[in-house]
Amino acid sequence: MSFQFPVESGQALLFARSVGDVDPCYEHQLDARPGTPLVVPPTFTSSAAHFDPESRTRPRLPATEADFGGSADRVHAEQHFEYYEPLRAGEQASVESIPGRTWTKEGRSGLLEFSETITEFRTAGGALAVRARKVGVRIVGPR
Amino acid sequence: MTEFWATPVVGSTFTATLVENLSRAHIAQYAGAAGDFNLVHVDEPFAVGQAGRPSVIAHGMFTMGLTASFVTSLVGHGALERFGGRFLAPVHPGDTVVCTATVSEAESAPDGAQVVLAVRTATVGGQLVFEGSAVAHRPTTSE
Repeated sequence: MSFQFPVESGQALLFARSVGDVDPCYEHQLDARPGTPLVVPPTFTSSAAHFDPESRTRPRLPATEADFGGSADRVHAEQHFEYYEPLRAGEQASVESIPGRTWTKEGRSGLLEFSETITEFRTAGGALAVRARKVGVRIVGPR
Repeated sequence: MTEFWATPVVGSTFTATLVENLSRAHIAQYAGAAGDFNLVHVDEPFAVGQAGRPSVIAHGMFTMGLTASFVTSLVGHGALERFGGRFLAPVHPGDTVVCTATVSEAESAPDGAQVVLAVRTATVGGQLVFEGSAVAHRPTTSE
C-alpha cells in the first residue's frame, strides 16, 4: 500500500493541539516557505491516515457505509517510530506500508493473533524520514 | 535546547499530568486531527453494544501522543531518534493521566549527548496504560 501525504504546517498545528503540545513554534511556522523543515509532534505521521485511500476510519461521509468505522476485535498493541530526516513544508511525502512478522500467543481471553505493519515515510527527495512499526492484535477465539 | 540537557543523570525522574478528567470532546478532537474515527473511539452505542466496552475509549495513539508531548517538552523538538512502546490498557473519559519519564541511560560523546528515557503513563487510579522508551540526541554543534 502506498500513497502521498501532503505535509502542511497547519495540520501539524492541529495535531499538536490535539495531543497537548502548545509550543508556539507550531504557530510561528504556519507561514513557512515550501521546503522548510517543519517541527512536527513525534507521532504526527499518524495523521497521514487522512490521505490513506484504504483507511476505513478516516473522515468521510456517509459514515453509515458498511465498511466504515473499523472493527471491534482488533487492538493496537504496540507502536514504534524511528526518526531520520525532517518533513518539509509543502512537500508530498511518500508513504509505503508492508506487512511484517505475524505470531500468535495464548491470552486470558483466548488465542491472540499479532501482526506487524512497517510504514516508511519518505521525503519528496526520496530520503527516509520516519519508519513506523505498528503491532496489532486480534482476538481469534476462546481457548 | 531545554534545561533537561544540563543534567541528564541516570535515575532522574520527571513527572507530568498529561490530561485531567479526559473529555469525549478531547477524544473527538484527536480523532479529527489524526483522521481516525474508529467507532470505538467516537460512537458510544457502538463502543458499549458491539465492542463490549464500558464507554468509548481513547485512541492508543492519543495516549502515546500525549506522552510524546511530555517527552519533547523535556528533550526539545527534533531531538528524538526513536520512540515507542506498548499499549497496556485503554484510557476512558473521566480519566486523569500521568506520565513519569526516567533517565535510564545517559552518554556523552564528542558529537553530542544521548539519553534513553523509560516512560510509564498511567491513570491516577494506578492503571498503567502505556510503557515505552525514547532515545534522544543532542548534537554538540547545536548549542
